[in-house]
Amino acid sequence: MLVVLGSLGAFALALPVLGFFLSVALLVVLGSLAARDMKPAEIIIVALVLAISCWLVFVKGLALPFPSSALFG
Amino acid sequence: MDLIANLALGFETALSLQNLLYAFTGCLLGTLIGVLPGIGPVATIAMLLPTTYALPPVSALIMLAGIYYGAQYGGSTTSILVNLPGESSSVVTCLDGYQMARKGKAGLALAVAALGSFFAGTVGTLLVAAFAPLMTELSLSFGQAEYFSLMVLGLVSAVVLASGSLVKAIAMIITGLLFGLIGVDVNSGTTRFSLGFAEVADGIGFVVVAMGMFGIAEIITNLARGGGEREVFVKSVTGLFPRWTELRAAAPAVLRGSALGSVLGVLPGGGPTIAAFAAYSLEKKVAKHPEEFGQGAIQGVAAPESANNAASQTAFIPLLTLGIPPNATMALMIGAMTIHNIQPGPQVMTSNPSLFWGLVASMWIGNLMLVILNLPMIGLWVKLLTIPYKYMFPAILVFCVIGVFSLNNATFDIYLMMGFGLLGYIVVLLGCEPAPLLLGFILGPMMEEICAALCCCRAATGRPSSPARSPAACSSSRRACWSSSCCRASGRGARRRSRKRDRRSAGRVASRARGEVSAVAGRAALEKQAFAFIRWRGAAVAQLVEQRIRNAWGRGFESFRGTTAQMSGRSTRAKTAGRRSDRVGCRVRRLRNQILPSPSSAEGSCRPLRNAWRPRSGS
Repeated sequence: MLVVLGSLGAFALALPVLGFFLSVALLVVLGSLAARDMKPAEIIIVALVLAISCWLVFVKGLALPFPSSALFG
Repeated sequence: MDLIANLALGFETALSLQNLLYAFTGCLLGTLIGVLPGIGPVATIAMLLPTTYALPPVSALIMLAGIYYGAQYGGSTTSILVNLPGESSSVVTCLDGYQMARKGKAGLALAVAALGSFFAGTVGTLLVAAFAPLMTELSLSFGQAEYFSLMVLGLVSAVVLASGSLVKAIAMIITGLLFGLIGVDVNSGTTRFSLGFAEVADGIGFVVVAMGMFGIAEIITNLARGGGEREVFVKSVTGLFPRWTELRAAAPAVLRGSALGSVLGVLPGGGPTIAAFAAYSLEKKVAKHPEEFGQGAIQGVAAPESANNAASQTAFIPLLTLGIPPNATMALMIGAMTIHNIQPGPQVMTSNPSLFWGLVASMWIGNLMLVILNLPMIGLWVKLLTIPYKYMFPAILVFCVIGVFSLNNATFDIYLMMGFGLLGYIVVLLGCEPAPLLLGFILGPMMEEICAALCCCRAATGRPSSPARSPAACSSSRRACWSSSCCRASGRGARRRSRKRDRRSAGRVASRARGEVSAVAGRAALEKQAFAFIRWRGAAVAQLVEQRIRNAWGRGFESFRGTTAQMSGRSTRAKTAGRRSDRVGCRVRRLRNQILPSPSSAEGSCRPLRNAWRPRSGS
C-alpha cells in the first residue's frame, strides 16, 4: 500500500523534473514493486510499453498539456 | 406524435458517423472495464472526463453513457466465467451464473444475460423517452425546497440501501459532506478547511475523490489481498444461442427484472447494484422451485442482469430532467455536462433537444452494439481475463494519475488523490462503502447553496418559501442550515416557527390552527425580520427596502407582500399568500371563538382586522 502511494508521490514530484515519459515509467516501476511476484525484466517491459502507449495516446493523440521537463525541455 | 418526432430527431443525431463511433468506443470501453475486475465505470468516466473536453458535448455524453451501461454488460461475463464480479452490480450474477458455468451451461448463461440486458435496455430507453418530458414538466414546478428535499432523500436512500451497517453508511455520508465543505463558503466568502492551501479554494474536485477512493483504493485492496488462482471456464463457452424452451423459462424473469430495475434506477441512491439484488430476491420469492437458486437457475442470471441494465438506463431520467444525480456515476455525468457549459436541469430538454434525444437514441443503439460485442466476440473478452493482475494494475495506476493531473495541471491534485486513496483503503478495511461518501461529497455543497437561498428568502419575506406544500422540506432545511449567516440573522423567529411545526399533533384542525397561528405570529416578526435582512444586506439596499416597507405599510399589507415577493421573484405566490393570510387570520379567529366562545363574537362574523394589527416588539 505504501509502495503504491509512494509511487504516486514520486510521479508527482518527478513530473516537472523528468518529463512525462520518464515519470510514467518511474511510476510503473515503483508501482510494480508493490506486486510481489514480478520479475525485473517484466517490470521493465511493462514500464516501457505503458509509457510509450500513454505518450502516444495522451500527449500525441489527445494533446493533453503536460509540463515540460526541467531536464529535457 | 411528439414522441416519434423527438425520437426521429434523436436517431438523426445519434446515427451520424462521429456519434456512432463514439458510441462504439464507449461500449467497447465499457465492456472492457466491466470485464476487468478492479476498475469500474466511476473510475473510468472520471479518467476520461478531461479528455472529453475537446469533443462536442453530445459525443462526449454518448461515449460516457456507453461506458456506463456497457460496464453492466461486461460485468456479467466475469461473474459467470470466473466467479469474480467485474462490477458491483454483477455480484448477484456470480451466485447462479458461475454454477451454470460449472455445469457446462456457460454459453447459455452468457446468452441469456446479454439478451435479457438488451431487452431491459430497450425498455429502459423507451421509459426515458416517454417519461422524460412528463418529468421535466413536473420538475419545472419544483421549488428550491423540493430540490433540497430530493437531495436529502437521495442521501437517506443511499444510507438505507447501502449494504452493511447503517451507522457506517451514515458516517460515510457525513464524511463526504464534510469534505464537500472544503473551499470557499457560498455566503460569507471565507475559505473553510483549506489548511492554507490555495489550490482547494474551489473545493476538492470530485474526480480526485472518485479516482482516489475507487481507483487507487481498489488497487491497494487488491494488492494487499494478493492475487489468487482463478478458475476460468474458457473452453466450455459454446452453445451461445439458446433454445426456445430455455428462452421461455427465462422470459418472465427478464420482464420482472426490467420492471423492477426501471423503477429502482430512477430513485436516488438506487442504481444497478440495488436493482440486481432486489430482482434476485424477487425471483427467489416468486419461483416455483426456489431451491434451485444458488445451484444454477436461469432466472437467477436473467433477472439481475435485466434489472441492472434497466436501472442504468433509467438512472439518466433524474439526471437529464431534474439535474439531480441518483448515484455517483451520474454525478460525474453532471460534471461532464458542466465542462461543456450545459447547465443540468429541466431546461436541458428544451434548450438542447438534439443533445437530449440524441443521447436517448444512442442508448438504444449502444445496447444493440453491446449485444453484438458480447455474444459473438466473447472469446476476446475471455482471453482478456487471463491477463494477470500484476500487469493490469500499473496501467490502471497510470491512467488514474494522468486523468487527475490533466484536470487542473496541478501536481497538488495527485497528492490529494494519494490522500483519498489512503482514506479509501482505510474505509474498505473498516468495512464501510466508499459510494455514500462520494454522494455526500457531491450533494453537500448543492444542498448548502439551496439552504442558503431558502434562508435568504425567509429573511426577506418572513415566511417559508413554500409554506403549505412542503412543511417537511422547510423544517428539514431549517435544521440543516448551520453555516449560513442569513440563518443567524433570522434564526430566532424561524426556529420558534419550526419548533411549532415540529410539534404537530395528529389532529389536522389543531395542527392547521397552530400553523396558522405561527403564520400570523410570523407577520408580527415580519418587520423585525425584514430589518434583520436589511442589516445583513447593506445600507444602499436597506434604504430602498425600508422606504418600500414604509410605503407599503401605509398602503396596506397586501402590497407590501407584493413588493417583497417581487424582490424575491415570486409575485404570484405572494399575492395569493397575501390573500391567504387574511383568510388565515379570519380562520384563526373563528377557531379561537370556537374554543373560547366570547359573547361579543357572532357566528360567521369575520372581517379582516387589518387596521387593528400592530406589530408587536417581542414575538
